[in-house]
Amino acid sequence: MKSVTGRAGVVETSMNQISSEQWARMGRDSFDARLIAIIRRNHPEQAAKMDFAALVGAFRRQATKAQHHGLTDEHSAATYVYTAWLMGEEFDTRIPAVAQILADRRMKAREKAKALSNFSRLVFRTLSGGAAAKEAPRSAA
Amino acid sequence: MSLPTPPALGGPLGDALAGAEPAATQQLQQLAAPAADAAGKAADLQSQAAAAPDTAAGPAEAATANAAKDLGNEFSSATPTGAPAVPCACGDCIKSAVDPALPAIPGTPALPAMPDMPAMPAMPAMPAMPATPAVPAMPATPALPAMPAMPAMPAMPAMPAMPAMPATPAMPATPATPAMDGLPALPALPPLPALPAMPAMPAMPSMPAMPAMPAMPATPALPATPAMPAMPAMPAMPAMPAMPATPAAPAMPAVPAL
Repeated sequence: MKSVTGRAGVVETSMNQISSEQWARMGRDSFDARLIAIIRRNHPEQAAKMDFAALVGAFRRQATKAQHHGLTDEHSAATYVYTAWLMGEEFDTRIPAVAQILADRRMKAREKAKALSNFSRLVFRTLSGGAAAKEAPRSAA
Repeated sequence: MSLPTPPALGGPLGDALAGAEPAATQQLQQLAAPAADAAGKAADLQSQAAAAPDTAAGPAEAATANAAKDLGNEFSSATPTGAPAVPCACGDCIKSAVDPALPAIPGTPALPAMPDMPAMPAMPAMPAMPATPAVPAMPATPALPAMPAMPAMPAMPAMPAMPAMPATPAMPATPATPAMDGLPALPALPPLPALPAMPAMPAMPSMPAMPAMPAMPATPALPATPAMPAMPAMPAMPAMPAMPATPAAPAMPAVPAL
């Protein structure tokens, strides 16, 4: 970084300053933007029908719920929000298996995120009616 | 599992359920059922996902699997939610961005509450201390000779009781007697007053013998104490002004490093 001195340096330094709120907003916007991009890329038909400006508020609520479930890193939180977009607003309480996993305090965040990802894939595999879906899924242990 | 119908979230599942066969919906109930514990359920989901063929059963499963990969590529498991993230230099992951305008600030440990500090009165000036003269050397103390042993004291016999003595009447004065036939002259004797009667004295018991006292050793001589040098004079100390009272300070919580 080049050194700046005098009045020009003071002006340049003040222009580089950002507030804590600006920094936090950058983080939230970055999180939302990356997640929306992934949804648009992989679910183009559903994304075309959605108002993402209105969806941001729902994403923020789900990100807060993810924190309450111990998913504090952004990958685990993003997996949680994406699962909510797939399964619905109250998926964490409506689906008993998911509720059991999220409520467990011994499981790590990445283990919970992996379980959510596996559950989503198996749900859509079962509902797709493919060859695998015709086999009865293994009952819970 | 009930059908989700919220407009913003749950659309993909609603679409999939709308086109699913009844048997698939029934199989879904088993998938959503809890296990004996969360770790067991997570392990069961993992084994089912691993056993599934790589080819997706439908577009929804394919989209979900690809999205999971994208989430792993674009979201860091080492960055707290809400922090701006940037691509890492390694090119395989992302990391938390560092705000260039804000230097890292080390954490500060918690500080306990400070009680009220009373006002401190002014301290008067201290006068100069005069020089202390030298203390002369103290001469040596001579040795004390040994004390000889004391012999034993024999026992004292008992004293018998003395009977009472009757009172003696007064005796008149006796005139002087001149010398007669070789006898010297006797001076006049003054009158003797009467003596009161003496009561009887009880018998005194015998006193036991006292043992001998051993000899005391001689006390050695004490060496002379050297002279102490003179102490220089101390300058006067100026007066200290009064300190105002300090109010109590609340405890400060620990501040994490930024």
